[in-house]
Parts: sequence; structure tokens; C-alpha cells
Amino acid sequence: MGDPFRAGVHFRLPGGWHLYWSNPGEAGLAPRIEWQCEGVLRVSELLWPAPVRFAEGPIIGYGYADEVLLASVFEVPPGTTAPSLTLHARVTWLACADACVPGEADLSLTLPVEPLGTATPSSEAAWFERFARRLPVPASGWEFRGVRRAGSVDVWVTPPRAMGWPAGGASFFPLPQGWVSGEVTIVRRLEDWLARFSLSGPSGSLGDAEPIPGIWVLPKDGGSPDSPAAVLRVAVPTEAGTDRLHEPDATQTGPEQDGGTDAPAEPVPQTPNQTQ
Amino acid sequence: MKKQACLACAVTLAWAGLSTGVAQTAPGGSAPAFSLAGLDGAVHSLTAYSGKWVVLEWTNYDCPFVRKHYDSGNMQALQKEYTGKGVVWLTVCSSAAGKQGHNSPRRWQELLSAAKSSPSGFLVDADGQLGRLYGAKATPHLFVIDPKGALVYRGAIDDKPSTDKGDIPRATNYVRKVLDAGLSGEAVTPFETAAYGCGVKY
Repeated sequence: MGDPFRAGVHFRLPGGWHLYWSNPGEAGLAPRIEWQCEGVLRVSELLWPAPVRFAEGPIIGYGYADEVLLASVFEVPPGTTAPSLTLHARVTWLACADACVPGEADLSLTLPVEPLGTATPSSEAAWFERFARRLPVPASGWEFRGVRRAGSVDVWVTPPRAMGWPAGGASFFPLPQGWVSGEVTIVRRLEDWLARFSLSGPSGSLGDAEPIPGIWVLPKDGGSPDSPAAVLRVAVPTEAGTDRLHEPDATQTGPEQDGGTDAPAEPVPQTPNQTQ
Repeated sequence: MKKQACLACAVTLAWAGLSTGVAQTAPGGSAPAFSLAGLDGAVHSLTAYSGKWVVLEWTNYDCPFVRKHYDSGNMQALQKEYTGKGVVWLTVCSSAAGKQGHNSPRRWQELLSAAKSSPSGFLVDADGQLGRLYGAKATPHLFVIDPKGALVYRGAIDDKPSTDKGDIPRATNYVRKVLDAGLSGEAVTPFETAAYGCGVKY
């Protein structure tokens, strides 16, 4: 009471079926939850865990297989005296396997209202914790800058401290509707990382010169999609480029790259398990 | 005669198919040429339609988003209205054999008749060549080509992504918007939106 709390809808899917992320990709439709609750001061937007990428032939989609929890944060006024609070959710979704099937449900949940500071986590708290690990956080301390070409983008990534590129690679999920990206490959690895990936989508959702909003997911070594190392929400500022990127003060290790200099390679801090 | 047309069709599409997936023509560019036999056996060739507005409508009758626009009569009404105004409306299905939405030509005749759908032509694109040429991703996916052969619109049919028929009356229909402007002589600034629908079943 007075403390913000989370409530959400837990979806469970049979094998082979998926739901969609807020940007469903090239087809599909994101689920929607309309909350109706009396006595609630504020309801946040839905919190979207980092999705997975799937392909139906050449069509790329983003979403969730097996299960997902989509939650919002609720705030009630501090002076609330009611003993309980009932939340109603009107939920609509699209589930696809080979076929797509729309679904809808009206759900209700009644919660006890306890004196400030005494509320205990519900029996479902573990689900919230589990999916919370995949919620994006602002990428503070990180720097991103990109160069866009037709159909692809190079992004220079500077982590907040020297760290090896995660062995599991990285994924980028663009946020604008209908935009999709390809596998991220690392072209050079120094203290900065140069990540390159294809990127395409309708100009109506993202202009040529706009920063690219999206989610970077950096898996832990041996990690599963359930526990990525970092899930960062970014807007990558970009400039237009036509040629390969030249960085006059860059040093390099490994094979000669386009735009490389003749400077001798400097030693780069190596961490165990670091792979190309 | 038909054989010759199909040979031309294969050559056109094969050549066009060499471009990479990412390089589909963006709005403002020239719509890629194609030549494909329709259900009625007549060949539909984009160059032959020079001087006319052309709409390409990707469909899959088993997709709930397509059903939204057909069960409501919305798509058929658009087809009728604009073919009546000289627009060439081609409905295309790129579902591969064995995948959702694929039908034999005879079955398509039955389905179109039952739906009272009357496009200028219906193209069965089971090998997906036309779909890949245009970058058709979802059903429905709409492309509008002006009389000079420029692609002026590609994207969603309207601005209400949902499977709910009830959204149609208050939606802005992009195809209608482009054609009404174009047919009345107004300049149409090319644009695109994110299509909503089921993935094309290549």
C-alpha cells in the first residue's frame, strides 16, 4: 500500500507455438493487456522481457516460446484504506505455429492491501524474478555509435570497463515496428567492439537519420536466454556511411582488416573463454 | 502460347531473383517487372500495365488478418471500387505447396467465387518468386504502383493492426488514401508502413 507492486499475465504455450514481442518483426502482432482497476493511481507500460528471434522461412519474428510474463508496475495512493484491490485485465494475443490463432481473455485478480512495509511477496514472486532478469535496463556507462549503410549497420560499442566480448556473442533487437536485424558479427575486437549486422525495415517506423532504438542482449558464458549477462536498452545514434569505416588511430590484433593501420598491434587484455 | 508466356515469366523472375534479399525496391523506386499467368490463363505483365495504377495484394485465406478484411467484405469492396476506376488489382498468394494458404487453381476459383472477390487477376505464386521479388512478408501486404511504374506505397492495408473486424470502420485505409490522391491527379509522396499479418508461407 503506497509501495509500487507488479502484476502481470503469465502466458504458457504448447511446443512449437510463440507469442510476439512489442516489435513482432516482419509479421505477427504483439499481445495487448488493457488494465482496469479502481483505486490505482498509476499503471506503467508493459515490461517486455528480451525476446528470442525466430524465422518462418525467410520471415523474421521476435517473441517468446514456452512461456512469458508480461507485467506492469502499479501504484496505489498512500492513504488507501480498502482491504483489497481487484485488477481486471482484458488480454488479446496472437499465437502462431504454422497457423496463427488470435486469442482473448478477461482476467481478474484480487490482492490484499496491507499496511505499509508489511506486504509479503506472493507465491508467484519467483516468476517475476525470473522474467525480471530479462528486462532491459538503461545502458549507462556504455557508449554506442553507428554508421548506417543500405541494409546494414556498423556499431562501435564501448563497454563501461574493459571486458572480453562475451563468448555467446550478442543479439540486437530493434524496437521500431517491422524492423529486423541479422546475426551480429564482430569485425574487430579491441577495447571497443565493432559489431556489424544487417538491419532493415519500413521507413515509416524509423527514418534514415534517426537513432536506432533497440535492445542489446549479451549472454553470459554458458548462459541461457533466461539469464543473459546484460540486457541493455539503447538508442544508437548513427550517421550515414558509404565506405568501409576507417579509424586512423585504431590498433588491431588478429588478421588484417579493411581500413587497418600499419601500427604494431597492442596487447589487448585477454580474459579466459574469449572467442572471436 | 501459354508455354511461351511461362518461359518469359521464368526468365524475367529468374533474372530479377538475383538481387539479394535486402535490396528490394523501396518506395520511390521502380517497381520490379514481372510477368505471371493468372487463374484465368491470361498473362499479367507489369510493363503491359504502364499508364495504369496497379495494386498487388498478398493473401492467405487461412490467416486471421486476411479473414478480418474478407469476412467483413472490406477487401472485396476495395477491389470492386478501384477496378471500377481503372486500377489493376492483382491478388497474389505465395504460399508454397503443402503450406497454409496454398490451394490448387480450381480451389482458388471456388474460394474467390464464394468470397465474391473480383480482382483484375489472381496470381498463384507457389514458388514464391514474385513474393521474394517484392519482399512480401505478411498477409495482407499491399503494394501500390503508379502509372509510371514507380512503387509509391508498400505496407499494411490500414493503420489498425488487429484481427478485429470492428477496427475497420475507424481505420485509415492506406490503399484508399494513395489511390484516391493518385486518381484525382494529386502528387503522392512515396511512403511505407509496417505490414501487419501472418508471415507469408514460402
